[in-house]
Amino acid sequence: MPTSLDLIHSATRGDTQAFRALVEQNQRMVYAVAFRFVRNAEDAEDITQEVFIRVWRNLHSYRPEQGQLSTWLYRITTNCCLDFERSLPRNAGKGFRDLNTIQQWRTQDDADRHVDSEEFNSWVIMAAQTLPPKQRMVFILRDMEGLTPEEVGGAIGMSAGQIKSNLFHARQKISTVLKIVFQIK
Amino acid sequence: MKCKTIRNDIFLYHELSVLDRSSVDAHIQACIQCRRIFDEMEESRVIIAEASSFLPHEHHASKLTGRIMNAVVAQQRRRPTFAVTWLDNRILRLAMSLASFVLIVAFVMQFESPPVTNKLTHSTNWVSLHTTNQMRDLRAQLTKSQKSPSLYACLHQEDCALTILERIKTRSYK
Repeated sequence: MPTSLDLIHSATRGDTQAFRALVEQNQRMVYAVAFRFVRNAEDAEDITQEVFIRVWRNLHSYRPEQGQLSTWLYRITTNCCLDFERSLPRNAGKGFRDLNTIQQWRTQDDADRHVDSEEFNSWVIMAAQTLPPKQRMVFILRDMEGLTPEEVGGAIGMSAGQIKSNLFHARQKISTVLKIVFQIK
Repeated sequence: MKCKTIRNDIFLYHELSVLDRSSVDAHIQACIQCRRIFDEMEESRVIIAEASSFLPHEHHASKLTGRIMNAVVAQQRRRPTFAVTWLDNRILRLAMSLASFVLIVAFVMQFESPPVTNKLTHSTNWVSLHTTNQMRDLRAQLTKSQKSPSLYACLHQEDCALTILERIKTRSYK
């Protein structure tokens, strides 16, 4: 089975079948990040498409010695997500900034019910929507995707100090939101 | 260590060095308030970890792959030759537009600038003097050529040739 690097080399020479294989390998990861960021399937699909178009255009600029393919993909995905957020009209998709709105998400009946990982995921994604775009992306990459602080820095173009500062504020706010939603005592 | 510092560190517990982590651990053993915040944070972390185990997936993965590939193939068809692809570079495009702007400004300034006057002073260097003299000679030559065209240039124009002959006659009479 060809490695990602082989596929990139073939795709750089214009082999679309190799590129298709590359898309199939990484599509889910890109989609997951995009979905967690925008919390909307259609927008996440649009972002995923844009990511792979950018990858196709910039295949020649990929240098394996500078980092793994996944780091490069995370960086492009981050840029696409932030570009998407910037393209939104003002106040669009910012309905979850108010904690009172969050309190209404989960009723008492819901609180007693068993929650599976999919539902946890949707609650956490909802909570993440309360964060500013860069903080949200740092939170998603570090806490949900499990990237190291260095990898997050590489993907989002931030220093270690900025990453820590963004993580601190993001976790503080997410913790407050989750405390309200799950009524953590 | 103060509670305020520890509370800041609690939110970055897993990014702390071993030494800082142990000082947080020691503090939360003694401080109930900080212990409570730490527990809340840990509970949130468990929820987030549980949530992260679920990977959101596309409803129709193959359909999305097809859509991506169609867009890529369309890009490939639209892709211009190498002669134009280098224009994709944003910095290069910016540099080129800046250079074009400078050239246009220089071109316009050329017409708007007043005529150059060379003041001959004691300190005038020879280059300026040389240029001035050269310009004067050129201008004289130009004026001269406008007043009396060469005989060669007049070969095909009867009127012109006659004018020259008349001039020669006038000079000889003088």
